[in-house]
Amino acid sequence: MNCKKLVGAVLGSTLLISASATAQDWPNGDLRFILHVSPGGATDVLARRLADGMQQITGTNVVVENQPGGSGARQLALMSLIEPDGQTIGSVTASHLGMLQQSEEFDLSSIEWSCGMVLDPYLLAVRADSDIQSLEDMVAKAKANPGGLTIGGFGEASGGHVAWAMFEEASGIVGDMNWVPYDSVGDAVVSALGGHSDVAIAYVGLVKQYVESGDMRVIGIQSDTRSESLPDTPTYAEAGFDVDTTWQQFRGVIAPAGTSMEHQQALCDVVEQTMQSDELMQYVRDSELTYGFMGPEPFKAFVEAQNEAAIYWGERLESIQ
Amino acid sequence: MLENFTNAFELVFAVRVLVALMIGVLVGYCVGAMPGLTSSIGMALLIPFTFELDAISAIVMLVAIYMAADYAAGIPAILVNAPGQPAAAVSAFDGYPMTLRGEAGKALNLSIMSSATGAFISLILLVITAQAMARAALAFGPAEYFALAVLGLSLIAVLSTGSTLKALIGLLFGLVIVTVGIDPIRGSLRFVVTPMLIDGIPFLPALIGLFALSEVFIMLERGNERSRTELGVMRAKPSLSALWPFRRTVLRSSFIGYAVGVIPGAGAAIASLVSYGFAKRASKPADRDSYGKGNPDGVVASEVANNAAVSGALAPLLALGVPGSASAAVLIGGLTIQGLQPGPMLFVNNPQIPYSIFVSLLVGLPIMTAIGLLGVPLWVRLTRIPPGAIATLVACICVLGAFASSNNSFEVLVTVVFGIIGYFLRKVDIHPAPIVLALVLGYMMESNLRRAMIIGNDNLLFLVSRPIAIVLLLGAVLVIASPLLGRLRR
Amino acid sequence: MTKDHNGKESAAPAAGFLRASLNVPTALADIAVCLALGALGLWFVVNAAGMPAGRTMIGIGTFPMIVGVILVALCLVQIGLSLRNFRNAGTISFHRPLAVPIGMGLMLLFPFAMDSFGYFQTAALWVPAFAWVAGVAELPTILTLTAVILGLAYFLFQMLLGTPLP
Repeated sequence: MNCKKLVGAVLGSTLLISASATAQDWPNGDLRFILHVSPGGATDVLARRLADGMQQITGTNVVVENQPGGSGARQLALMSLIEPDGQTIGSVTASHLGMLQQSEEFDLSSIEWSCGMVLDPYLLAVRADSDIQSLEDMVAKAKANPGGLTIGGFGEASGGHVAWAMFEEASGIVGDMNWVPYDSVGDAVVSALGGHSDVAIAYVGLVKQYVESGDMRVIGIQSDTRSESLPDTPTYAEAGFDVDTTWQQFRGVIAPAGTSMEHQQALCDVVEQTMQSDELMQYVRDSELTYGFMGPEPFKAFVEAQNEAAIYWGERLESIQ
Repeated sequence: MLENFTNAFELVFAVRVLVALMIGVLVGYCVGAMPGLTSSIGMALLIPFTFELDAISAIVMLVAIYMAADYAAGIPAILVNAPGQPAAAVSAFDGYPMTLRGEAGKALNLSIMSSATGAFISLILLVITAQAMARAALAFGPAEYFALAVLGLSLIAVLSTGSTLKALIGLLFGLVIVTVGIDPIRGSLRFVVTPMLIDGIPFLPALIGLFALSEVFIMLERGNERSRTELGVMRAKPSLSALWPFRRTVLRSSFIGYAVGVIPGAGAAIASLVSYGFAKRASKPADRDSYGKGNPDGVVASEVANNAAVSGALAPLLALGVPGSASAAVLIGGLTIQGLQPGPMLFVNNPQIPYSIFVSLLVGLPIMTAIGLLGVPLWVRLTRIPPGAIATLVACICVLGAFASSNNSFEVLVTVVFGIIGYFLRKVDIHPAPIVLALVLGYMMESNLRRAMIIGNDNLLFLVSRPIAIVLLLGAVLVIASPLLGRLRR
Repeated sequence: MTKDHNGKESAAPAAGFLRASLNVPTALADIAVCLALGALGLWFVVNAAGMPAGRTMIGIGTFPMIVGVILVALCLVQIGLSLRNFRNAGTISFHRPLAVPIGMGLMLLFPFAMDSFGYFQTAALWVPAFAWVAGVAELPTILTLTAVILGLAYFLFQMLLGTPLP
């Protein structure tokens, strides 16, 4: 197996000498790609696809390593020990922000936010036989019977929880529905399918199949435009709720703090090329993600804005309790 | 359905699919037999190679790993008390004492045949009931999971040999340490003395330490001389008729294993424990004391159930797209790479996938059984290695396995620390079994209790407001009360 | 089950540096272990008591508090029973009482040595040392064992499974 890779690597590198003159000496040997999730999940699969594509473009091995633990804390602890020579990169999702807020060790500047890859809007889904027909309906029921409805989502102060807090605020039902934290977004969807949560907050890719099979209904999506695969689902704005639509789950690539801008730029060029390959575009489409490549500077600005919102809403959530 | 099956047979009997099946079986066999490496790790490692394969070969290969790993995990559990996967810990309860008695060959043959039979029966159950069972599994919400955890913990009453008080102390020790790490509901840190413990005490290293490494220290006490019984390794010819005396256990455990496997998050380890508990409960009172001391029925109960749980976990995966275990989650990853979305639409849009999985399991089973049975004489020969050398070998494999489970030397340290704790606890007759029971169920118990309290607005009655939860809790009461009642009657 | 195995079989402990056995009254061992586990339980209880109560009845510290208290209570009961039965409880034998602590020490060293010197360098020295403690005296056996373990680590873990051994 290693032999095959090696041949590929040699072939690839000879082809690329001329092409990557601007990328200078990057990459200089094998790349190490540290993931903050366990193998098999959506983040892991996307990262491995990316690694595979980068391998073909750069001609060097991209060694993927899973270091799950503490919503990314373990990955960051590891990356902070590594020399920032551009040879090590990591995966990142919005859940890192919540962890950074809690952590005493790390903050936004503990890593370089190199590039963003995809975005994923939040939505609210109910079981098909639920008597909640629309967002308005849900708000009315929540107001009529505070504490009677439950909303399932991932963790506390997570991206989904913040998204829910935004909706609560906009619709004036703050604290009227019980937030039930599950171990993953998928678990929350299953809890709604089983009728244990009245509503679940999730992503398109996680509920689409249940909508198709007639098990679920999506009552609203936190986005500016309707989703192609859920054409009947109104956006929050269409349903009359003014919620910040820039708040979306994101996935990207990070590097150890101190990695030079040239290396980051070179890395992001490769990431962008890979993301635009047919295979990855197809994968992004199949997984119902939104393509949203951002280079080092825009991504950093995006993350900072997200972080401010996360801090603001995190405190709001704390004070509600 | 029949048409789907014939189509699937044609698809699976292509050379490249059969090759993928063989590779999967072999990788699964290696990964499963190595303590610390689970099927999910093995599958994740092979996922990059499935990029190049067609959908059927890729899925068949991953499923073969899943199945073969569970199947091989009993081998080190029986030979050296080092479970290759968490579920096999239960097989060690009786399998290892059998090895110490010189019956390693018999125990291994039994375990392989029970694995195959359990897998076969549950596979048939899967084909017939996948959709219905998966729907039924959705009825499990926080209250039901809490009740399931209570039922699991109540098994301590039947699992323990010797002092019940000491078994309870072990159980509570497990429940206490399982709360280390990120709190399941609020996400705050609890009892985290070092940042490495943010995610709690890593389960696999703790398991390896408690079972395998504590055994290494006990071997150190014995030095390099072997006892007479171990030398007289009995010859055991494999034959299906050897399973006949255990037919009741085989049937009961297949159903238990399949049913528990279907419940997302319950998994093979719980299936084995429940099945073992019931096997012991169902045995004649005179035989009950022999469980945990080398009763072959215990090996059968465990191996049948943990292999049956594999098919069980496939039901919610294929029918709903809900992963029932870590390995099932990786399998979903593998399917999505192929552009397939497991879930309610899979049987409609791509019926060839689930049926190929069924067929590949059917084809794979005899292959696995053959490999397993052929391997027995070789494995048995391992017991002839001088005990001192075995101790060294097991110690090193524990280290490698613990490291490979997350590529971190901290896990090795956890393994060693739990090995030391396990050694001293065993010296005072606190068996690792109740501790592992608590480690498996503690998180499920606490997180779902708290979720249930949120849903039920802090009303404890919510826990007994749902039929399945009531049945499970009543079951727990019965399990605890029946030995006491039995004692009163005497 | 391990105890009766040890107790019955090797009345005369195997060859090693210390042939004697260390006999400890069972009750004393029980008390020592229960004191340790009780102290651990108490630590959890004290820490859990300091955790903030949430908006729900069962807060962050509730579950650890409950199980901690039960653990402490059970340990106290066991200590009480052991004290009452001190004389009749028999003894626990620790055979080769030097080999086990040395073995434990070696095991504890391993993860640290592995990080500073690398896996293969450490294992090359560590395996013979541990084998010797385990009572393997023949040089050929020790060498074969070392070769087998290094081979396993290299071919199975590093090559096949891609484990990044330090």
